[in-house]
Amino acid sequence: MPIDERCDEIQNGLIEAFLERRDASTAEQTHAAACPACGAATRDLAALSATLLHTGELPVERFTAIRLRVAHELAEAATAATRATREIELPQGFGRELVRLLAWSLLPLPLALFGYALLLRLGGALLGSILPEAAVFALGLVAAFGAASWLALIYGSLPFFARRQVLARQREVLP
Amino acid sequence: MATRTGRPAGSAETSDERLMQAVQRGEVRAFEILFERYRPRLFGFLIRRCTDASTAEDLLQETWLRVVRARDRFDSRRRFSTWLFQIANNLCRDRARRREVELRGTQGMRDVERVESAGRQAPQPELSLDMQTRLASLPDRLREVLVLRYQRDLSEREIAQIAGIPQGTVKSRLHQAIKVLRQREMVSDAD
Repeated sequence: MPIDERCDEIQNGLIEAFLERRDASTAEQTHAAACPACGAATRDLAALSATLLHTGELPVERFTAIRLRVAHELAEAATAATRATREIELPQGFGRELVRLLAWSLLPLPLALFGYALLLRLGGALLGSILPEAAVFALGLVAAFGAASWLALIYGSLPFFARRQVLARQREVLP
Repeated sequence: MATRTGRPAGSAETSDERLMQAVQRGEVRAFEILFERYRPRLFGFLIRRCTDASTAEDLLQETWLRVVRARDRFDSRRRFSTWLFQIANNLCRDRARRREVELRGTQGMRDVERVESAGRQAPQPELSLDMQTRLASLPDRLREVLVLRYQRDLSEREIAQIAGIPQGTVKSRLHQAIKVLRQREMVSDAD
């Protein structure tokens, strides 16, 4: 093998060893010791390796300052997250309070519905004598829709009432 | 990427990924262990990538702040070190890009001064100043892979992932970087 080709091969081997961070093979080392070009390559790679491996250091207090600053930010973020979770968490006793409120609000419902139906019927009979049937029907629909909306509003707000009640009771208990 | 189980998060033997899960829950102690565990490696990486100590210090803080702020986005099935170095590397790239913009139009002497001062600022008096200067003046895309390759436990696949390039490009850039550094050596020898 001509000398140039051999040197190319050796230098490639040296570079591979450098990249894999291992020692060059004995054959490569022996050749590099005798060959000025490959010897120079070995020295270059050793200098580069030393430069890359040397990490340098900051004074410990600078690292500490960075660590404390980031840790402080993490602690603050964690506290804020916990607070946010607690705010949407349902308080203890919420379920029981909701059932209680629901039971109380359902008791007068049949009577209210019956009264409302009676009112609609009477209103329909009265208006039927002066308005066309289609207009009375439309008014009846509007009234029914209004009643349904009120019921949705009342029963939909029960969980909020229940949560408020429980929290207020807990606050009373706390010192 | 084995996350050890059965150990309390926050002990020195806990895996990085498990510690990061604890950081996601807001555990400061877990963060402190991770910080100490990566302190020399990350600072070493940053100083090699940015070539000066004060920038490396800034970026060290910025990297950890990003880690903490983006902790919920960390997927514990991935290796923590890859994610960490990816953040650090992206910050270095941004910084290099910004510097390039600042220097555009004021090339020439000021640019040369920058490269020289970069070599001077790195606190390694016992090392070859020439090699440091050459490393500092190496194009960023080449220095990036070379510095990453010298991180202890990063495979070529992980380097590709961190640098956002195909695996084959990592190898070619590594060889190109060494070629460029050695060519400069030969030129300076000839001078």
